[in-house]
Amino acid sequence: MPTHYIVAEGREFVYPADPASWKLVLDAGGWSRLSAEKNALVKHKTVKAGDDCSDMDAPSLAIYVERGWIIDLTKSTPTVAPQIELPTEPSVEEEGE
Amino acid sequence: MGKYAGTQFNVFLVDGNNLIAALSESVTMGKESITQQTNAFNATSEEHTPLNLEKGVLTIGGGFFDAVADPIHGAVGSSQGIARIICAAIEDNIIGRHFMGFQGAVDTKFELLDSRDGLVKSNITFLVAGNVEEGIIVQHLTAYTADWDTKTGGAGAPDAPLDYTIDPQNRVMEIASNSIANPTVVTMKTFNGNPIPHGLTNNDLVFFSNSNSTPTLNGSRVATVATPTTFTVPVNVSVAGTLGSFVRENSNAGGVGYMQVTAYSGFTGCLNKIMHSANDSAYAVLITFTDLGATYLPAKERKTVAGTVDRYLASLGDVTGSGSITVFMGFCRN
Repeated sequence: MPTHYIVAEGREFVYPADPASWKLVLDAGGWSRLSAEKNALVKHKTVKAGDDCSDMDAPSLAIYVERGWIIDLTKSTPTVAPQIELPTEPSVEEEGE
Repeated sequence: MGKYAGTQFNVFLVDGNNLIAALSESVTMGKESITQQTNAFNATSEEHTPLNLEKGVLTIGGGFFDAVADPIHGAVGSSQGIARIICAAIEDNIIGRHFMGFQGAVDTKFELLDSRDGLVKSNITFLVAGNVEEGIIVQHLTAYTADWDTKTGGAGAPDAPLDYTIDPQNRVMEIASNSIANPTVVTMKTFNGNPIPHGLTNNDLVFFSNSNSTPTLNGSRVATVATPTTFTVPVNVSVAGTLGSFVRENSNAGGVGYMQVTAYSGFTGCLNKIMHSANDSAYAVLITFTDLGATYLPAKERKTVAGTVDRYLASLGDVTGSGSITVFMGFCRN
């Protein structure tokens, strides 16, 4: 799966790790409503800042992307300016002195 | 309001010391707004002006004084201005019940009560010059010997994330109507002829129940504020509604987390976290308390967090090595 989403700085998530696990959670109406047997079948994944989280379920992704807690790499712009050294030109005043 | 007995008051944590076993007769706790009397000399009634200051007060009445195992007085220590963190819960040691958190410089008044035919007791008054907050127990005081997670159970943790929509502190707001429109316009109920302000901001999540429009508004909705007493939700309503109520699903002004560790041994590290989730599926870390490392000290911490706090709260413990920990965590929404 291509990396489209990464976790923003200072954020950390735990979520069902694959579509089958997410379906179990969804069908139960939430993680906390799973029976012990079904809970044992759910695989979970923990991701931290900079990790790929493209496999998170779409509704959750939508919430966290909107808040800026997850970065959509297909839409985001670089937050760090390119390191280009620009030539420095002397100011008019300096030239006159 | 629920009724609670003295037997249900069993969380009283001062700087990681569990004092509950040392208490005996009574405890009071509360906070008050400090005011100054400002009426003129010839006024016929008192006038008080708030100073925008709060004061927290806890008192222990008739606590047993045990000079050998000295739990109360060990925690009380010096009497002047010692910064402490205190968590107290009178509604039992159960996830989802309320607690009060205090943090700040604590001045202590300590009185010994010696009687001819009884054990020596003491009265203690804590005056807290700092934060006083009421919140919810996210992790009840209990011992773990492995990683735990209250949203999924495991390691003996109760399977009990907190749902803000059923928190008694979350006010139920009644609506007067919702219009035929897409999105439908929700108008708040009136009180003494005046519509009640909804207090929402754009994109707040609200949870409706008892709606009678077609279709109903029941369930989770995103609110867009129109006026202080009206808002819209994205539902295409064909028959207007005249009934319904809602509660907020999340809060957006941050909050405060409390942690107290009363016993800790064996582990070489332990990260205690409060998690939150909008949908009980993906959980985000809300607060990570300081790693306890390998050295046990009575551990306590209060951490603030800004921004959105989602509907569900859960506690998670990530331990390293083998050992045991007895921990309490709570969260107060702003």
